[in-house]
Parts: sequence; structure tokens; C-alpha cells
Amino acid sequence: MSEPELDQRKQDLAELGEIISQRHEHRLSSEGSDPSTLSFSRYLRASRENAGLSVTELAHRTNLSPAALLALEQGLFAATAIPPPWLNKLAAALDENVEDFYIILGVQVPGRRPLLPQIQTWPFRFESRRPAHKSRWSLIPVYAVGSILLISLTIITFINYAIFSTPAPVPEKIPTFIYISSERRLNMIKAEPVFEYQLISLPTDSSTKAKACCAY
Amino acid sequence: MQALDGEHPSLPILGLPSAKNTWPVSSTLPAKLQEPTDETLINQVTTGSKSESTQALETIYQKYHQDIWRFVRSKVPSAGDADEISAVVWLVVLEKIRHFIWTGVPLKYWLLSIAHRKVMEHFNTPDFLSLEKLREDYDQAIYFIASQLNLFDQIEPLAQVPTIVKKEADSLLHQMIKRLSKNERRIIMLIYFEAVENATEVARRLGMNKNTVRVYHKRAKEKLRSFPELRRLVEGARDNV
Repeated sequence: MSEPELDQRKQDLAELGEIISQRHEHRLSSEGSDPSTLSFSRYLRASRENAGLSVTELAHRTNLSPAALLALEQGLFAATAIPPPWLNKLAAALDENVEDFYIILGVQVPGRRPLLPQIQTWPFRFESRRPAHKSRWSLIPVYAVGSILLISLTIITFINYAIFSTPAPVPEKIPTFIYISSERRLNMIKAEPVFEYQLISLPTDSSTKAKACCAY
Repeated sequence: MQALDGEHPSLPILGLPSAKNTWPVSSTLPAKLQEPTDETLINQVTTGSKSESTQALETIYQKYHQDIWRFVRSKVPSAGDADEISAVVWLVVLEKIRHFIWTGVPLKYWLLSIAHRKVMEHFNTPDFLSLEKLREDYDQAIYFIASQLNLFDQIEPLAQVPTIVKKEADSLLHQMIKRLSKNERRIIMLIYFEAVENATEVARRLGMNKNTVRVYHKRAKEKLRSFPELRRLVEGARDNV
């Protein structure tokens, strides 16, 4: 082994020592409630092997130290002590989904705040009857936005109608009683003799004249 | 030579008190420079305060890590393997040292015995690797996956699975779950790697409905059974029946 390699290895081992002492301190303070990362370490190792990379190669790709990777693969880190940028780098180098890492570590994805508490702080105070079914609650913002839009649209329509609309023209009243002047009424009475006169005085056609006479 | 005897000729002139000690000078080092014994270190780790315990563990690491690494390196062919096994040794130390009872045996022996055991586990294979052995390991790994995921009714869990088989099983399952959908992959991942057996717990971890998890789990199992790696096992089980 060459001199620089030896120095590098000494440096790595020293770093591993620091990680081990940090882990020990963490375990002492957490008193056994510290979640294990052995499942993540197994998954990471399997992923690395399937990618055909050695620890050194992966360290080179991710800019992490081999000691840190070694500690990750042996479960020497606490789940909450693994920095998120490391997970992002590892996911990118191993072509993995970083959310899978968070799921297997059992920690919340950073930057994604749970929706339920945000909505619960809303003035209406949603009460969660079944908090285990987050998928239902995750639709609440959609419902909330939809309801708000619907209410806003109704209010706008109402205001628009109440203020800006012109009143519809009042339909003309149809008189129920048709007034006929007396003169006209008289004319109507007189109309019958005129009609008779017209029939008598119709020209030429004898049959028509005969019918008219019979009718008369 | 007079000076070495503590009788310097200038002493009466300078009025200095004469040195009482004779050569060789016997002076004890200050307590801080003295190297703590193994017993002290163990006591500090097990019964000391948090800072004392951490400090003592650091000292143990600094004192022995090179010896451990050299021992492991002398047994395994590659430096990478030596790094890995050394890290495993220190992981065991972390787990066990708080319950360590001092019996007078040097700490180094305890550490080397752990290292020896881990090297043996690493080489839980015969001196030469045969194709039959590789095939056997592969079959055991497949069987281990099937039993862990409860893929078939007839399968009984293996009593003792060597580390090398477990590693191969992890690797194989990782390859297989890549072919599943996102939700199926996550469910199988939690059941296999995290050993979460309860559907409610899986649903909680994934933020899904319990019944949805059950449906995805069923589909994932069906898909896994249809994979060529596991299909052979199904056919073998049918033949046995």
C-alpha cells in the first residue's frame, strides 16, 4: 500500500472513530429509543452491489468519505443523524428514489410539512376522526379550494346581479275589457243590412244569386 | 559529575537548597499524561457520565483500532473487506461495551476475539468456492426471501441463515423489487428489510389506507411469484406436494 493510500486510510479510520463516539453519545442520550438504521444499511448495501460499485467508488461519486459510507452500511448512524444531502447524493449515484430511503429510515421527508396540522390551524378546525387514513385527509385542501371557489363565484354573481343589472322592462298590461265606442257598436248593428245589400247586388252569376236569395 | 550527584558547586553561592534526590531522578508523570488502564476505561464507559463514557470509548478506539484492522487485514484478501469487518467489530463493541464486566482479561483480547468471529463469519465458505456451493447459497437466498415475504404456504422459515446468504438475498430482492410498481416496491421493502408485518403499520408509514395496502401487497406477491427466480421454487414445491 502506498504512502498516500495509507494516510487516507488512517484518516478514514480516525473519522470512523469520531462517528462511533458520536453514535455512542447518541445512544446514551436516547436511552435505547434510538431507531435502528440496519434495514437502511442493508438496503443501501444491496443497492450498491447491484449498481456494481465498491465503497470507494461510491464515495468518489458522492463526495462522501469512505468512512461515512462504511458507517452508513453498518448502521452506525442514527436515523435522524443522517444529513439529507447525503441521502440525495446517494440516491442520485445509485439511481434510487430518495423517498424510499426516507420510508425505510422511518423519518419525515424534509421540506414536506404534513398537511393535516396546517389545515387544523385553520379557523374552521377540522376534526380528524380517522387520522390513520391520511389519503382521505390529503384531499381536504382540494375540497377546501373547490368550496372557496364555488362560494366566491356565487358571491360575485350575486353582487354583479344586484348592483349592475338593469331592471327588466315591465310588460304592457293587456286590457281585459275591450272598449268599443257606441258609434262603432251601432255600426256593427248596421252592418247586417249592408251585408244583405251587398249580396243582392252581386253581379251576374245566377246560381250564386239564387243561393243568396234562398239564404236570405 | 558533581551536578549529577545533586551537589552543584554553585549551590552555596546562589543560595539554592540542595537537592535531596540522588540519581536516577524518580519523578512521576502528571496524571493526565498517564495512559489509562483498560479497567479504568471500561469503568468510565460503563459507569461514567456521558462525556466521560464517550471520551473513554474514543480512547479505546484510538488505542486499538489499528491492531484490529491489522489483524483483520492479515486474514482477508482485500483492504475493503478489512475496513468493513473492522467497522462491524466496532459496531459490536458499541452494542456490548455498556454491559461489559471487567474480569482482568485485557481489552485487546476481547476485541480480537470479536474480530476473529467476524472474520470467520465473513469466511463462512469452504476454502475453495465450488459452483455447487454458489448454487446452494443462491437457492438458500431465494428460499429465505420466500419465507420472509411469506410467499407460499408450504414454506417454513430457515433455522439459521449465514450472513453471506442474507446479503445475497438482500441483493436479489433489491433486483426483483425494481420490477414492481412504486407502491408495491415500498410495501415489500418495508416488509422484507424493516420486518413490518402489520398492515396498519405499513399503511401508517406509507400514508395510505390499510385496505389499499392489502390490495397492493397481494398484487406484489403475485408478481413476485411469477418472477423466474421464484417460479422455480414454486414449481419445486408443487412437485414435492
